[in-house]
Amino acid sequence: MKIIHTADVHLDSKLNRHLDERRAKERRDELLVTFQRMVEFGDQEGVEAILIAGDLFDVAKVSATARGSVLAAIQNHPWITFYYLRGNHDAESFLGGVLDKGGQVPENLRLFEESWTTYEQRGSDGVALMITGAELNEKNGGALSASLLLDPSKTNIVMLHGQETKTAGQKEAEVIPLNAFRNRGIDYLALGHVHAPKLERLDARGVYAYAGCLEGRGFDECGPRGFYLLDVSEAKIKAEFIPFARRSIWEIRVDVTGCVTSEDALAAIRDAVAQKEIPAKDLVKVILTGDTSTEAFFDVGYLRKVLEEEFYYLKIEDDTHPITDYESYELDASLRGEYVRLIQKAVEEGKLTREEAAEMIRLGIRLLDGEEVLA
Amino acid sequence: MRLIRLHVENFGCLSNYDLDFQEGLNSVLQENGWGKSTLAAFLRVMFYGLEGERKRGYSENDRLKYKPWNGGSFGGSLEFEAGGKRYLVTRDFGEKDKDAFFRLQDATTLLDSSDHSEKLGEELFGIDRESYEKTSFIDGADLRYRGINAVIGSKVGSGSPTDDFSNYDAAQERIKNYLNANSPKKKTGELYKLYEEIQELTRDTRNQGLVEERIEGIKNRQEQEREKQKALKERKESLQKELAGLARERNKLMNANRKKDLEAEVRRRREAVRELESGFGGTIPTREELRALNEKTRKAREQMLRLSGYDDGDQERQKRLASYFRNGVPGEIEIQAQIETCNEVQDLLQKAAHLEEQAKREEGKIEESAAERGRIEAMLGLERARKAKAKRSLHLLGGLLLFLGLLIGAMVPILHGNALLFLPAVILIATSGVLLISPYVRGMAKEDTPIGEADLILRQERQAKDLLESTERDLETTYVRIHDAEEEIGRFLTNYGFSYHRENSENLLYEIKNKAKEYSELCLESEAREKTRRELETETEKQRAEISADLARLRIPVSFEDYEGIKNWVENAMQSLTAYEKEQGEEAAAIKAENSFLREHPELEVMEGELPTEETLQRREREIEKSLTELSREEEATYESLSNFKRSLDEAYDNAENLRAEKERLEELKDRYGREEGKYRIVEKTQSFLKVAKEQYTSAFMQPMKMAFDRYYELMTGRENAGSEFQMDANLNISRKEEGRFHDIEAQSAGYADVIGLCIRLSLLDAMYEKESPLVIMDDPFTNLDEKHLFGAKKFLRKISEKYQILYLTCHETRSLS
Repeated sequence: MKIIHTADVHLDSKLNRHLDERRAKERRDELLVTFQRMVEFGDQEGVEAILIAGDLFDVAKVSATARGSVLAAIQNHPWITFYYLRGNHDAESFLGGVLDKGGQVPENLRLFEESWTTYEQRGSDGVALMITGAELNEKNGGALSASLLLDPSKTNIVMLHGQETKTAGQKEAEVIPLNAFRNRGIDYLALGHVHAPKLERLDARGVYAYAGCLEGRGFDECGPRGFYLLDVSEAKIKAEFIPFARRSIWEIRVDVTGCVTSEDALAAIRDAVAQKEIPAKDLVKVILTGDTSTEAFFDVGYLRKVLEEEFYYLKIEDDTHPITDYESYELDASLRGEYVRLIQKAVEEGKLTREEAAEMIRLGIRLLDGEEVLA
Repeated sequence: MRLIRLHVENFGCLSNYDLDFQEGLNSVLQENGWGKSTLAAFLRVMFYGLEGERKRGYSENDRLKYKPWNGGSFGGSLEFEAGGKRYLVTRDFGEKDKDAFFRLQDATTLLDSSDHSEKLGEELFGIDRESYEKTSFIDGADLRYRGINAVIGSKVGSGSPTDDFSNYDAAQERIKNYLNANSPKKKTGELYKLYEEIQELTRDTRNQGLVEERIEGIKNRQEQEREKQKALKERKESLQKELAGLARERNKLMNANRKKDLEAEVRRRREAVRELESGFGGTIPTREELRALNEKTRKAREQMLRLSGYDDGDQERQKRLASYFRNGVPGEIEIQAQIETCNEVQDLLQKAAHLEEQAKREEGKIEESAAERGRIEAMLGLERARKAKAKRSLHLLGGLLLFLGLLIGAMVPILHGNALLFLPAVILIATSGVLLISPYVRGMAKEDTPIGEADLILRQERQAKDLLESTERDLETTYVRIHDAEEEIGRFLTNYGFSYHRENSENLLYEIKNKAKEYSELCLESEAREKTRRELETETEKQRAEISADLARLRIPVSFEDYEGIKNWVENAMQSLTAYEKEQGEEAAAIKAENSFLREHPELEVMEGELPTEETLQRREREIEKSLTELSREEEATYESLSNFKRSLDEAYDNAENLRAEKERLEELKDRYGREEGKYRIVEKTQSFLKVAKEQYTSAFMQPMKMAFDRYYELMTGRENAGSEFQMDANLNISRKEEGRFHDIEAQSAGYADVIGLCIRLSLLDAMYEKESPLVIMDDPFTNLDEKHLFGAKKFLRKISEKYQILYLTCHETRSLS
């Protein structure tokens, strides 16, 4: 029996931190489409259950489009059972409005509550699986693990949404003390909340996994994103990560030590991008790093203008550290020589920090060079 | 740089004007309106080009201001020496800027020179037009010193300007603009606005608790409404269950009534059946029995009729035929044998007639043979003699030819050697011989023919005689047989009263045969009829017994002889039976329906208690339906409330979402503020450090410049150590000490201000140019000086003309140097 473990889809996420409204909307649509593609993939692969370990939606007020698409994906695949456990972002069940008007929960949708709920998932190959889950909140956060009772003779999957911690005793909501779930008969602890995929051993018997998000949304969600495809047999559960995001997010640190001009930095960026083989459809953040001379100046606006057409989204940050060679200014009779020596003295007298001094030297020299650095 | 001469083609009021320059002082004394300032401007534009081309104001636009009054070519030429070389520069400014013409020539060779471009001033003097006007172009109308610019500053510092110093002002301007635009203190400053926005967002986001409370409040009310909805639903379901129960009660009631109806129907049918049963007198015949009785009666009646009208047949005929066969009835075979014998007689009679004809023919043949034999014997004697002679001659010739042939055949091989050539002739000859001999032989046979015929006739005659004898013997035998047969037939016919006649005996035999057959048949029929009649009587008796038994058994009050009565009774009984069976069927159907209904509703078997009445049920149903309507209305209201709560919750979520976004924005703004403020502080410090650096940097050449100022000032004023009244700062601003305090030179009188201005400009030129300096143009610089200072000024002028080439323009004789 095959099962998909996903989480943190964050449908309806605003995504406007970096993107303009048009592209933020486009990415929102892409999130929804990736979710639908995942269900279609499951259908093609003969998946019989999809576990959604929380944060299917990003906001409490779900848009009609997202609600309709998710419902349609569930209703159009009656042979797949969907196990939907709400996360901290899913404040209200997206079915709330439907149920208030006398509607019905789709037959292939299983929901969870504050206390443990167990469903039996019987595969077409005869494999029986017990899927247990509970929604963490401020009230049950501390005591939930104590009330978990599993039949160790069965194959058990436990679903939760929260942040893993090493030790028990955490009282905060949305915290999963892993120790409290060890040696409890769990074969696969399907988690949500952490946006990077992670699969590690829980105890001698089982593993725990964060599916991560389906699509990265910001530069804190770089790297491959997708879901886990579980192959459940009587003996064990085998999990394989399936990279599935439409666009990947990259943060590359480009060492521009030795570079002086923007063109030098541009060449260094191009080298780094080529080495990583970053596709044009992806979102890229370039951070310029390294120690540079005070003469060096990288026009971030210009660099972005040159490279922005080559990616879906590009951000460039200058995190280089200017290193001032004070000795080279000792005999400089120009105004800048006077300026650098003055700053050097202030540093020595403790009136300026080295960082401030470096920034001031870089700025002052650029200004004296006639650069429009403060425009 | 040294000017040699100039030629003004047309420029403002000047036209076709030439001026030769000498080293040192060049003085032009002309009255007002002559064009002294125009001449000074001409020199400026020859080095720097026209200014303010795009400006509309007359005073700012050189083209408008100096357009030739009398038309003609707009420009002129200038000969000068620089870097040891002489040049001739010619400019024609044309009607428009695009028509302007510039040419630089080597003044010695008059070949075009590329040593300098149109930016002649910048390239020769190392300063821009503005700096030129601030230093070597000294306009008496505006002599006040207003500080230096960066170009001058940089030129002052090193003799040649460095980029960083020349960019200093622009850098400070940028810093100033940045600090202004981003000031945290000014309302228009970005940091100020950012701070304000942070403050506003901080205030707004303080309400998050309220929004969360509101969400919780709505959720609680939503939960309560859902509970209410749930309770309404349960109540509704309960009433619907009760309504269903009432429907079941109604069904039960209907079923009980139905059961009663079915029972009544069964009873009614049963009575009807019993009534019909009684009509049969106790025993109900079956339809088969009735049909059998009817059939028996019909058959009995037919039997009776058959017996009563029984036909005895053709007894007369039988009797008549019996008279023929008193001696017994001949068998068919026997009669057939007699008919065969009769036919044999006929055949024998035909045979006898044939034999007799044959005997007659044989007798005729014998007679004809005897006559023929006599005639032949006579002819034989004559023929025999004639033929014997002729035959002998032919035989001789044939023999000769044969001999000849044989002889030739024997001789030729011997004589000739080749016998084959003569073989045909030999064969021909021999054959002719043979042919001639053979007729002889045949003639010998023909000679014997008449004798053969006679023998043949004789033999035929003997054969005829033998046949005649045989025929006569057959005739006799035939006639004997005919006689015997006719006797036998005659004896047979006699037995049945007939006598034999050869012509009709066969007809008689056939008549006997037919009658015998008819008689036999009649005898058989008679026997059969008797047998049948006996059987009929027996059967009739049996039928009567059976019918009587049936009548008795079925208690039919009709005599068995009353066949019509029985028939009518049976017909009536059949009708009654049909009605009875129908009624029985109805009864069975009623019972079946009752049983089926009871099976379907086993609860009716154990019905306990009183059933409610229809009225009671209807009253309760009306009450429930009313309650359900009311509950549905309340349920609708809860839907509406939940919908409203959903809207409110969505709104609250929107608020919460906005708050969340605002908090994110707040954090982002705080981060940004931190970064921007950090940058602002860096820029502030940069501004401060750059300023100090510049001051320290300029202080290096400030002292020599102050000394030059002091020197020129003493020269102008004629007072020793007069320069000590002044101090110069790093920005080369100068101030005067009066009564222990330094005052800005702006506060000085016009005359003093002009003197100070002149001295600073010259000290600047000293600092700026170590070797080649530009022509110093002084356009009536001493207009504000009193007599006392005028003397010093002239002295000053002569002194500086030792170092600089000077064009001194004045309109007053008093201010002239002569």
